[in-house]
Amino acid sequence: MKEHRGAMLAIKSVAAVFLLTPLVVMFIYSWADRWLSILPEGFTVHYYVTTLTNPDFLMGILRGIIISAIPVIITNISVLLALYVVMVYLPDMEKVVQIFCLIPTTINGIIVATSVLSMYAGSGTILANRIVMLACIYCVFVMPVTYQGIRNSLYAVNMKGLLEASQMLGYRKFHSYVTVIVPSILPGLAASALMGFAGLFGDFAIIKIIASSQYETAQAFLYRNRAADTQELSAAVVILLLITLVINYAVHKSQNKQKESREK
Amino acid sequence: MLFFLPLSLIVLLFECVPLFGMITKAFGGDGGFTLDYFLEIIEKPVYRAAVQNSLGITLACTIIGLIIDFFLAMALSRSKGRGKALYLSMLNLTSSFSGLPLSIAFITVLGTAGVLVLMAQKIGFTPLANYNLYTMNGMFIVYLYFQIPMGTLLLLPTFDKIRKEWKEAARLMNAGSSRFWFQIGIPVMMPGILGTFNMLFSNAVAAYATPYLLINNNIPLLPIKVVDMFVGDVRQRPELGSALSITLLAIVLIEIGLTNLCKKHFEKGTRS
Repeated sequence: MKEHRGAMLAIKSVAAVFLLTPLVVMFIYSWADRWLSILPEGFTVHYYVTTLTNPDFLMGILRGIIISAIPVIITNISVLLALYVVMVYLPDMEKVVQIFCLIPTTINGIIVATSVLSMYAGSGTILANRIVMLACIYCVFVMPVTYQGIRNSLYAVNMKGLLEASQMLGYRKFHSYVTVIVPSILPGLAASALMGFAGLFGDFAIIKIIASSQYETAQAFLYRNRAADTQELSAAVVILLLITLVINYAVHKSQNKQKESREK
Repeated sequence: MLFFLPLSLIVLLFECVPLFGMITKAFGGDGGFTLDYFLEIIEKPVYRAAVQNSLGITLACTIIGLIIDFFLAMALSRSKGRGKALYLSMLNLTSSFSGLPLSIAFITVLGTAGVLVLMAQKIGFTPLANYNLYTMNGMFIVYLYFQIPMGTLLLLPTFDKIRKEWKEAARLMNAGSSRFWFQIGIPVMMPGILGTFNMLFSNAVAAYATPYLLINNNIPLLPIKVVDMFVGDVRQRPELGSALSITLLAIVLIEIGLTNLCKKHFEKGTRS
């Protein structure tokens, strides 16, 4: 259908311009001295220097990394353990585990966060601590992507066969699960873990509900300074975007690695 | 069994118990069954408007987004090589550009002192010079923005289902390109299209950062109202908030149910 070639090119170009404009403007804006008319006037690294030396912003990134990494690790370990039992001893339970792990895709973060907050906020237990609460909600939030990543990887490696082989060699099942299966699915695991991490790192809604004043991540920092100098803000946005870009690149890398190792 | 413990704890304490609590709060709280909170949502103009606004902007941006995604994915499925790879990585990059950073970027571009707005004022291009990002219509463009990369990436694989031979056969039988797509192409792709519709819909209906930053409480929207009932500056009403949460959840569930019905219809069609 060659007659549509022009139209196809047009839609691709228009979409590309639309999608790239905010990115490009943010990028130029963060380097520009002033931009009040048609073209920016002069270039400066000033805004990057002030943003990157702002302890609040740096601490925000660090807090964001910590509060995103811990739930990802907890969820990965929990799902790995549960799926081990399911795959080896209780195959009937798989459906149940799947339902509970995929529930958060339908019930969005706002609903989970508000319901957890009103349940435990005044309970006087450790769960009333806002940071603990935030970490636990994040665990729920990354469960779907973690579950799907781990499950697909486990199916891809022929876990049953490997475990039986190592059992014949005299190893205990769980021991070989940890030393053989888990390392062999590590690339797939890393990909889904990083995806979950990127989702948490970019979260604003849940942190706003649970702990924006007690635990200021980079996103909460952006929100608090939304009325400040837009150029500094642009620099902060560009830096956060670069971090996401690095994570995305890592996801891509580990997915490729997984594909390669499967092809071997 | 001990291995089940961590996951069960998370699921029980942070999924089941809070959701159960939410349902009991919404339907009564301290004893007795009541539908008062739901009646309030129906009767009070603010909450009714919140539901209508949320549904309106979500449906509009999902449908328009899906149409754009469809043609964009079609264009991409026909291109090859480096250009396509580059375009796909651009889509990947922009699909992770969301939430607060995206809204800030749009304020920089199209806000009251946005770069494009200032430019348009200089050259006297009025439609853009008077652009108001802080209304439902103005905010629409941000909603559309996050629907495009994600939807296109999700739709792209379904285009692989369309075989070249079918197009050739259709052409031999004198069916034009639009007839081919309406009678063969789109019905075959329907399960994939509906799945994408689901994802885009639930993504948009729960969007919080964008409306919170751009319109906050000037125009009522469901996710913002839900959160306000629990952590707002005004009087907090967790019971009403729970009822609003359930309304939001019901919207998503009804939408998924409807698309599933449609999906069944089309899957039947392909079998016979």
